[in-house]
Amino acid sequence: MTPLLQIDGLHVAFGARDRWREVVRGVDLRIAPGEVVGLVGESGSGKSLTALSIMRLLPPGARVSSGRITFAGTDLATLSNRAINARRGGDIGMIFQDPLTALNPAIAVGRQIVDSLRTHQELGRKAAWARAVELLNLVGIHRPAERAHAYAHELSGGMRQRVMTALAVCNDPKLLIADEPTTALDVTVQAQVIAMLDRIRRELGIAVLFISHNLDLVAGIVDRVSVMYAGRVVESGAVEDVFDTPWHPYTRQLLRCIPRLDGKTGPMPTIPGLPPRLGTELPGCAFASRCQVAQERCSLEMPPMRRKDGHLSVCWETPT
Amino acid sequence: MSETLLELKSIRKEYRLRQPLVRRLRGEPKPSVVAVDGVSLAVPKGAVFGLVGESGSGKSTLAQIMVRLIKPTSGQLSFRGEDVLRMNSASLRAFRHGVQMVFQDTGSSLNPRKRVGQTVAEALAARGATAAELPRLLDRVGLDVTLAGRFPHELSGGQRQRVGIARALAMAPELLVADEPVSALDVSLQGQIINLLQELNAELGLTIVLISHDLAVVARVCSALAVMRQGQVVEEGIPQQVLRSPRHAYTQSLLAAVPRGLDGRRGADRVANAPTKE
Repeated sequence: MTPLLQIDGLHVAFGARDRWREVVRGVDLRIAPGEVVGLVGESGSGKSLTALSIMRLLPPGARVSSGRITFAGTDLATLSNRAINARRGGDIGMIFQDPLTALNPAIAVGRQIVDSLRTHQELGRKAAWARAVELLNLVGIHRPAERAHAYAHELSGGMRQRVMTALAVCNDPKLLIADEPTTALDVTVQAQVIAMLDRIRRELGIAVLFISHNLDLVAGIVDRVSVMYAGRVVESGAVEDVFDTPWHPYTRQLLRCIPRLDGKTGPMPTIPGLPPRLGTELPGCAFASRCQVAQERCSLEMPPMRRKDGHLSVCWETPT
Repeated sequence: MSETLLELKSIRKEYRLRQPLVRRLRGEPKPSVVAVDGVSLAVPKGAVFGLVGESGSGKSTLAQIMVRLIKPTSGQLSFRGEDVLRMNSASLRAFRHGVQMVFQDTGSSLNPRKRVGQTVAEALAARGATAAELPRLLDRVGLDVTLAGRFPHELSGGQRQRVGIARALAMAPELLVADEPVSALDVSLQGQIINLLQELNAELGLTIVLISHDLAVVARVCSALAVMRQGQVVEEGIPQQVLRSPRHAYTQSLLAAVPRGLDGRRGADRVANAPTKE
């Protein structure tokens, strides 16, 4: 199948004039129509910048230094501002971590959905309002006709994230980008929002790029997962493969670190050390200094990419 | 180990809301929000005591009452058998030295315009200790001494949290109240901070109250835990027991909501049936 979204060799750099520091260093990513792909990594790994590059929403001071992002056959970099604006909230919906800053505090939530609907579709006011209420119902908001008149601050965190979802899917997007959508929520609410997202994307047949630092959470809803470390994808594959037989030492160590309800006590497993500072140029593998199985050449030479049946890992170690 | 260090009896904290004058004149009852609603807890000396709950459950309010940053509306609070709420200023000062707090957000709990070494040195000076102790203290929390000259924004989140712990330790406290110390940190770094707290407990005999919304973390390191909901303690016990057979429905829903990786995928229906809060 031709991918809906295809990212090839994406590099993103921060800087000014002649001093640019790369923070995303050659990310490849493919999402098929209707597929759910997870992008996992620690803060500073470049996962959010990768997502923002798709929508051309990089913060000031950051730029795509090389690479290609194709969406449904179109190179997004070549689009005019007007054309990319039509994509944002149209073909591509986005949900952010903090719905309180993403929603307009001075406009009722129903009205915000109406505005988005009428920007992208030919719809009368009444029809748009009716559709907004329908969407609020779809994302699991009780008494949607009433709640449509509410302002963001009058809703709980979970409800706000449901409103964000309604807003993101209101124009039947083909792709939904969800950047840490549940990180600010309590665990029970997180579970509900995840279940809601999963139901919506099945019902509407939307492809999802799900970004999170929580591997266990991602595993619950994605088909494939890519693990990022210091600006690179170090492992990717079907979610079962990556979890059951992680190849890259970073993925293995990260999986061990996640606190689980397994009845174990005593010291928690950790990854010693710290990730390299943003933009540091390293000749070899960026994880080498924290890796338990690192050899001498790891920090001297970039490891090769090894792949088998759609599972790939960037490491000198040969996967077994 | 059965000696109680900190004891709370029927602690209640109400916040009065503003009432329009007309309603007050009509003699309507004053509106209020109950943040903590009759909590009794005993923290044993030398324990790592876990306090679990979601946002709005009152756990942070309770933490601030424990260190007497806020006064409860009613109830009793005693530290080493002494009534904290009726202390004179001299013994209150001693209490404040003996009880220290570590906060979640190191971005706002450290002075951004002070070098972190100075921040810790000031705490040392407040106890009457000399700055000569600084290197040993930084080393104890796993910070390189060369970082003392840095500003908070030049450090990573994990390093900043170590500074926060060093500042608390500078007072040589008996009790450390840690309010969500790792929830802002990446998974790979959470363990480092939690392990540090465990070491301090084991090596210095420091009693720790660990407040977290993450049941898995609390269950792993605590010797006792309490689950809070809507200002009340709904379940209390030894972690392994609570995990194996939670008695309260709320604890069960908390347990069910913890992401379980692939296992969660294989039994996703359980999550969909979790009771709603909204």
